[in-house]
Formats: sequence, C-alpha cells, structure tokens
Amino acid sequence: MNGFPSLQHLAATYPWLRATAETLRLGAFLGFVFLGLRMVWKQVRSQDAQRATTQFIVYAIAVTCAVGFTQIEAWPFSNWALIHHISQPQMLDWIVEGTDATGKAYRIDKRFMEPMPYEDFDTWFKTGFFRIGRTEEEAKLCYLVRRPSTPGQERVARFLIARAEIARQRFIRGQSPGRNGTIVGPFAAPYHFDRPTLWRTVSDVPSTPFVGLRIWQIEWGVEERYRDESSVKRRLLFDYRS
Amino acid sequence: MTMAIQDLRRRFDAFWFAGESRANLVVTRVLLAGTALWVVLSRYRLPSIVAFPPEMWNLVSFARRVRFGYFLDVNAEYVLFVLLHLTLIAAIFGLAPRLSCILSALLLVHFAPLETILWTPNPYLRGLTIPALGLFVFGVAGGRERRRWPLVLTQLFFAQIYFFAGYSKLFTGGFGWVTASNIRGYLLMLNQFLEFPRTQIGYALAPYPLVCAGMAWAGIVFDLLFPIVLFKPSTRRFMLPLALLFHIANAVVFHVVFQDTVLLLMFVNWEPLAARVRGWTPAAWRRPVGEAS
Repeated sequence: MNGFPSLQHLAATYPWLRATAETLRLGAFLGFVFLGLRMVWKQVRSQDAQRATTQFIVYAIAVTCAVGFTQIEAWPFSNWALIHHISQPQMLDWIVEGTDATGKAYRIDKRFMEPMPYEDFDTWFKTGFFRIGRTEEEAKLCYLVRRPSTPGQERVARFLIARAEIARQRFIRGQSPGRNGTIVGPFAAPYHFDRPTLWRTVSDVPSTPFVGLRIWQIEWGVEERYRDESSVKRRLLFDYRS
Repeated sequence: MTMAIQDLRRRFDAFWFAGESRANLVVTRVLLAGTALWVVLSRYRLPSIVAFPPEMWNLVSFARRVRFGYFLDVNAEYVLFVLLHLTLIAAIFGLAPRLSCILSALLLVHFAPLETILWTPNPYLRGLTIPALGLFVFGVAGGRERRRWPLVLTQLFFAQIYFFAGYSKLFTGGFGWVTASNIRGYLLMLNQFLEFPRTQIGYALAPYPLVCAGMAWAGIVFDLLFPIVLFKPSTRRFMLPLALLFHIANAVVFHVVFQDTVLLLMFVNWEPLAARVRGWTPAAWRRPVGEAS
C-alpha cells in the first residue's frame, strides 16, 4: 500500500523532478480552469454547453480522484490525508523562548506568528531554519551540536524577536498577542490544531523588551511522559542576543 | 456495447443535470463565500507573509512561486486581498455572480497557500479549499443555472474530504492504523505535543483499549461511508448529525478543528423553508414567473 509515497520521495531527491511535478500540478489546475471557462464561453455565445459541462464535471472527478487515490497532492486538489501515519512512540519538538536584557527566558506565546498558524511556522522552523546559509549536511549537524549562527539565521532571529516584542506589548496593553481577532474578535476562525495559550497573566512575559531568542530541542517517549510528565530531555540548539 | 454507453450517459445526465431548487443553489453559494470571508477576515494580515525575511522562504522553490503566482510586493498583495473581500461579498449577495465567484475562487487559490507555503503548498483543512473549488464551479455555472450539477459537484468535493481522510489512513498506515494502541498513541502524543494539561478528556480515554479501538473503527468506517449522502439523500438524516458529532469529538478529544463544518448545511434541502418564506413575502415583492434572476 505504500508504493506511491516512494514516488514522492523520488521527487524530493531530484530538483528537476520537483520542478516538473510543480508544473504538472499547475497544469492540473489550469486544465480545470480552462474547461470551466470554455463552458462559460459557449454559454455566453449561446452555444450548446452541455458537452463542455460534462467534460468539466468528468475532469473534476478524475483529477480529484487521481490525487486522492495516489495521495500525491496537487492543491487545490487535495489528498485530504490527516493523522494518517501510525503514531510515533518517540517525539521531538522545539521550544522557543525570548530573553530579556537580564538574560531571563520566557516561553513565547504561539499566537506571535499570526496570521501564520503556529504549526506551519513550527514545521518550517524545524526543517528550514538550520538550512539557512548551510548545506543540508551541515544543517543536520546543527540538530546534534550547537554551532555558530549564520548571518541569515541572525536576520530571521531578529525578525522573530521583533514579532515577539510586538506580541508582548499588545498583551501588556490587554490585547491578544496575535492579530487574527482584530476584525471579527472572539469569532475569528480557529486554526486546524487547537492549542492552549501560554501567556495568561503579565507574569508570563517580561516587563522589559525581548532582546534574544533561544531554541531548545525537547525529546520524549510518549508512554514515559504519560507516566512521568518530567521525563523530557532538553538540549539548547540556538541562543542569540541582538 | 453502444447500448451500455448510452445507458451510462443517460444515468450520468439524470444524476448531474436534473433540476435543482434555486434556494439550494443560492444557499450553497452563500455558504461557500461566507465561509471563505469568515476565514480571510480572521487572517486579515495574510499578505504580510510575502514580506517575511527571504531566508524564511528558503524551502519555496521558484517553480512553486510560479504555481501560485507569488511575485508581487506586499502592497500589491494587500490590494488583491481587499479585492478578494469585495468579490466574496458580491458572491454572497449574488452581485455579478459569475464574475464574483470566479474571481473569488482564483484569488483564494492565490492566497490560501500563504498559510503553509513555507513548508508545504497544500493548505488543505485550513478552511479555504472547498470554498475555492466550489466558488469556481458556481462561477462557471453562472447565476441562471437551474440544474443540480454545481451543487452536486461541490458536495462531491466535500464528501471526498471524509473518504480520502479514511483512505489515506489505510494507504499509509495499513490496518495497523485501526488499532487501540495507535489511537492511544495519538491521544497521548497530541495532548503532549500541543501542551494540554492532564485534565483533558484524551488522557482520560487513553487507558481504555476498547474505547480506543472503537474510536478507530467508528472514525474510519464513517469516513469511508460518508459519500453515500451523495447517492442516498435519505441517509443525510443520520449522516449529517453524525458528521457534526464527529467534528465536535475531534475538536474535544484530538484538538483537531474543522473550519468547514458549516458547509454540511449544503446537504440540507432548503426548498421547504424557501417556499414558506415565499409564502410570507408580500405578493408585490415576488419575482414574476419566468423573469430571469
């Protein structure tokens, strides 16, 4: 049953294949748009559009089923895969902290990246951050041993500190750290994964601005942590002060 | 052979091109545009993501930028984003429905991936996929379409969410997915990963293998059976409440939220309600029979 994911693996290996795959995906969508607009063209010119409508419907069914059954995404035609792997017994995650001028660290509330969902920022952060200014081989080492930061990583760190600082100031003023609710207030659409808020009282944030960023990697066994909440290993991966 | 093809075509036409109540078509268009508007109003700074430091776009290839048209600066993106809001409002109120729906759909396809583009171009399950596809279908169908195909095609896209969510579990995890230990693992892992306290119901359910196995089987059977609502409308009486229960349970137990839950309403027949409303409306307000909308 796992034949098609290996095709995805192959596409990830060869850059030209990736570009071709992106073009094919764009082509699948453009085909959908073309058939739809052709139908409109016939209707506008008072021609019989029944055949064009049938072709549009058949194409839409074919392409959405092809994507679904192969599980190779071609968004807006999606594979709709969700929580589809076997659950993992070991977990890795990153914790992001901001530090104040005294060096004291505070967890950064996940709403600081809004409108980007935290899970999407987090996935990029874990896969892309150490690749900035480094080869993939060099990046892999960063997960094991702390290494000096690259200028690009420092630029991103300054950007994240600035966002965390804006979120801190909003929170101190009594507003939400994120901005999704600015227009629709508490009725703002939730993100796909619900998360508890980290900042609840003013003691959760420093009284002075954030000036640094730390990344910790945490690792745990799911069953071990269930038995003992404290059985989590922490390793400092990145420590930057602007 | 020819007879079989003719019979197939007749069945196809009967299924897709039967007449449909105007109320059902209008309600679905409003639901699609309304859901999209709710999500984009809730992410009103979405275009700001194009102005993130270029280093954060390091996993986004040139081909992927081409695919979604990410070449404009942030100010131009904001202008397009405002246009998206206007086209969605027009689609809700049926103003130039063909143009407003098509433009809304194309702009949604441009903007929706911004939420995830840094690592994946597949922003499914973030609320905008079905509105983008559905609004395009309603746009090309036009405001005067009185056959059911735009509604049924959108319903099909929606039903595929469940079916392929179930299929993907078997495709990737095999039957090992449908086990108590797998669901127990997810209950614990998701609560730990998302940092929920031990008072959560997921922790309370995890110790019971029968409950976990029941959740696994109930979920996957429901997912795979959901498309029946397309072919047997009578099943909607229990499948739609079950779907609502399914999403509430997912949100409470697994912390997985489905923004498109309200789109289940497009499987409801709104014609009886519309007929009643028409009965209350003063005769002078009613559109004369045969007048184009």
